[in-house]
This record gives sequence, structure tokens and C-alpha cells, in this order.
Amino acid sequence: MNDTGNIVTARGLSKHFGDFAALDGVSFNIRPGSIVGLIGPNGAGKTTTLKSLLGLTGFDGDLDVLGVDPRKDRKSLMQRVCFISDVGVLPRWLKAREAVAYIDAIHPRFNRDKAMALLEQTNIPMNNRVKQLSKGMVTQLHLALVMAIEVDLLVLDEPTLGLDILYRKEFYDRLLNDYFDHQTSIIISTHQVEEIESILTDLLFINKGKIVLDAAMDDLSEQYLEVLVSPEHVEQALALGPIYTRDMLGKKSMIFERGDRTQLESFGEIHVPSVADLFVAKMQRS
Amino acid sequence: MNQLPMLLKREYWEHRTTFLYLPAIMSMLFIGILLFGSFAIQSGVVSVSVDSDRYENGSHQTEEFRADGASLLEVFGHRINQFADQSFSEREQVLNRVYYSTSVIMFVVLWFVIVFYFVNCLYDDRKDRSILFWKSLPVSDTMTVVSKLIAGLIVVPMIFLVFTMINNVALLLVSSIAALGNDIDIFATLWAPANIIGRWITFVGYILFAGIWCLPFFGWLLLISSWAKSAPLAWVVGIPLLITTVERIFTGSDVVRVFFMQHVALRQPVVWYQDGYGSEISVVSIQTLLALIVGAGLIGLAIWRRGYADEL
Repeated sequence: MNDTGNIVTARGLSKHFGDFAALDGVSFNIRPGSIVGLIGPNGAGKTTTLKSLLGLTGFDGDLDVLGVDPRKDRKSLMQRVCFISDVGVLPRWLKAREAVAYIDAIHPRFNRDKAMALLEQTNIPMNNRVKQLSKGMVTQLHLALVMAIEVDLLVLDEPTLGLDILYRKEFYDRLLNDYFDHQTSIIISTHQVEEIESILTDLLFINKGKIVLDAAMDDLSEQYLEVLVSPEHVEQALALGPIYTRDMLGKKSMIFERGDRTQLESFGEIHVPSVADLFVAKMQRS
Repeated sequence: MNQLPMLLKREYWEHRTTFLYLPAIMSMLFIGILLFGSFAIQSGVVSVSVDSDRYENGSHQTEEFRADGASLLEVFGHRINQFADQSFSEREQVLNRVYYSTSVIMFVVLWFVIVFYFVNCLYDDRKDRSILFWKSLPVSDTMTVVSKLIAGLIVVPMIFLVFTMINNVALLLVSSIAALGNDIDIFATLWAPANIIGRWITFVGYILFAGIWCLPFFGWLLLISSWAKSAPLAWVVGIPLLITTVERIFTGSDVVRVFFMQHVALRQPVVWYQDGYGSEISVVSIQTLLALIVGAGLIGLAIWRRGYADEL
């Protein structure tokens, strides 16, 4: 943790590939004990942001992760941060047994017994190589290894990409029930919003290298309201500048940012927009 | 915590086919051929013709024996008696040649194993994206590169040495058994001049020195391995080729090519032959120091590059 009390403090992160800005002045904080969803379409800068946090890529700007600049001291940072990318990154030749032995020998915060206990709950044969395991098993293996490491920040980059729904659900269930203890912070990137909506404490929307929304889930209801506007109120409602409008069962559904609740209630049924709808709204406007 | 032993083990896990199975199979083949050959000849299954020159004292005579089965043993007995009559240094020379020629294939293969290992060791994990896994663990880039260097320059040669030792002992035992029944002192005739233990110690020294002498080449391989976005082997060859061509066109000199070729390998296994073939390379010399400095510089660059390395 740094002197701001945050796990991560990012200010003005930028990264350019030629003319293309993968990151364009990205700033955000991660509080201890939060589960942050980094959500954006493909190519929005999610992976570049996460790689920056891990010291896996160079960038411009100020970044403090657990008091460390990831560009300068990846080794000491990795004692306190763990990372799961999509299923493809475990080396194909590595045996499950070897993976456990390796991390046990090089990671001071690895709990071998815990890893073995977690692996016993799966059907992973310990003498099999990664290439002999199914995608789902590889993810289970990686998750078991990471869950046995006591860290302050867990970084997940599209961790369930390419998995079927059963494994995806199991992954998030395990993460939440067996791992998350309000000590560790988690940042998850995905473009499948619905799947993780229920477990998040904070939202970061990113599009074209820019943060377009940074909010705590609890504050969403104060900031955003969705109204099912009856036909007779449509013009009135449009005058208030909704950030998103769509047709729904003969009525108009509109999302307002910082709208006046009482006024909006007079237009029709009112509720907090789903993260998915909010996402679409924000993406269309940026 | 000392990570080096596990990092070396990791290299072994990934490369056990070329690090262990390959020399083991070569050794098994050698011993198999040796035993089968001895057995086949002795039991008369095959017949062989033995050409010999230079075994005769002084003069270069060529004789040919056609022999099968028992008569070959007679020939061998005849030969071994002649051999025993030669001077110690003559026997040493002959055995040197025998042991060298039966071991040299191991060293050639060893060189290829090391070269291909270095060319790919910082490239493959970027290509298959597993670098994201390795880099998500608390191992420094320096430690990563150094562990690969130690694996290639010490661990792999020592494994190959063990199998060379096994081959040497097998050859010595088989020739000793074949010589039994002749009225010669086997130890003085075969064992003492073969000097296999001295040979092994020399080999260790040779490997350690080759590691320093060829460091510019191996450092170059590691640098390309950590830097190339595709086809590292093409860069390994292509860049020096380009530099030497440019040098020749513009300055007419040959410095880069000579330096590169000198350090690709210890050209003759200089310390292996102890019979006056000797080397022009002195272990303690300015050239050795230069090799060490250039090599360390290239390895430093490889480590620096590894710090920025990303999946391809």
C-alpha cells in the first residue's frame, strides 16, 4: 500500500504503438479489498493496462502498485501480486506436479498444502502435461496455484475466455467463496459484463485507451437511473439529455446521468440500469 | 531463498529430450554396437576384414586379414601383442586417436544442443505466450538469463561428459576382455596409456574454458533469442553476415568475421589432444579477456531486453 492508502494509483498512463494510442492518459485508483471490473470492448486497452500494472510492458505516466513502480522492480512486486491471463499462458510442456514444485521453490508466499488440497478437488492428473489437459482443467490448475499464494493484488485478464459456462461459473464461484477475503484486491478485465457484474465492488469502463467510467457499484444507483418512459413523456424526457435511449415494448427506455429522481419518476417506471446497459450507453457516447 | 537449483531444474524439465535422452540414447547405441560387434565377430556371425597400416614398428606396411570367428581373435591377439611391444608414447597416441574418434560425435552433438538451446530459450516462451506465466512469478530477469547460461554452459556439458565417461569405460572394458588370454599386461598396455580419468579432468577444463572463450557467441545467441520477433536463427547468422560484408566493402578488412569465427567454437579440441597438436589459444591472454568482456556485454544486453520482453 502506498501513502494514499490505495493498492494501485495510476496517473496519466499512456502507451502508443505508432499512431495508435493503446492507453491515452489513463488514471484510476484501486482501494484495498475491492473487486474492480475493468470492462471494455476488444482493443480498448484492457490488457495493456493490466500488463502495465504487472511490469510486463513499458508505458509513460505515473504508476504505483503496492508502493513499487512496476517498471523498476518486477521481481519484488510479483511476491505480492498474482496474475492469471487467459488459458493459453501455462507452458504446454509443464507437468502439474512440476508447476507446484516450481512455484513452491521460488515463491516465498506459496502454500504448497493449500495448492495440493485445491488440486485434489479437481480431476487433474498430477503427472500430466498442460498440453494433455482440457482448457477447463488448465484454468483450474492455474487458479489452484494462484489461490495458494497469499498476495495483496490479484490481476485477472479475461481469465475465462474460451471456457464453457460450467467452468466459467465454477471459476468465479471459487474465486469469491474460497479466495476473496477482503484483504486481497482483485482487478478483472473482461468484455463479458454480465458474468462478473454481481461480484464487483467497483467499475472501470475503458474505451479507445481512455477511462469512460470510474464508479463504485454502490454509487451507481445515485449516479445513473434508467426510466421506462411512456410515449406521452418522451419529448420532455429527451429534453433532459439521456445518455442512452432504446425502444422497449412500445416505450422508450432511457438512461440518465445525475438526473433528478423525482422528476424522472414522473416519466415512468424507474430503476438502476444494469451494468451491461450502462456499458453500451457509455461505449456509444465515447 | 536460492532460486538457482529450481531454475536449472526447470530448464531440464523443458529440455530433457535433448539434455538427457539424446546423449543417453547415443551412449546406448555406442555400447550396443560395441557389444554386438564383439559378440558377432567372436561367434563368427560376421566376418570382417582388417586393414592395417602404421601399427608396424617404424615402417608403413599395409596388410589385410580376412577373418571370421576364431581366426579373428587370433588376429586380434597378434595385434595386441604387437601393440604391447610399442613404446608407451606410441600407445598413448594410438589410444588418443581411438578415444577421441569414439567421443567426438558426443562433442559435436553437444555443440548443436547448446547452440539451439540458447537460440530458442528466450524466444520460445514469448512465442507460446508462457512468458506471461514466468514473468508473473518473482524471478528477476537477470536470474532467468543467468540460469539459462549456467544450464547451457555447465549442466548440459556435464551430462554429456557422464555419458562420454560411460562410453570410455565400456570401450576400455570390452577391449580388455578381448585382450584376455594373451600374454600381456592389460593395465600397462591399455589402461595406463588410455588415461581416461585424465581425459575427463581435461574435458572439464576444456568445457569451462570453452564457456569463456565462446562467450561472445553464446551471448550473441541469447541476445538474439531475447530480441528477435521471428526466426531467431536467421538473425543469428544474418546480422554477422551483413556486418562482415559491409566491413569488407568499406574497409577491406576482416576483423569481425575473424573474431566471430574464432569464438563460434574452440576450433580444435585443443586440450583434448595431448599429443602436440596443441593450441595457439592461450588460456590466460588478452583474447580470453576480450572474449569475456564482449560476452558479458552481450549477455547484459540480453538481460536488459528480457526486461521489456512481451508475448509475440
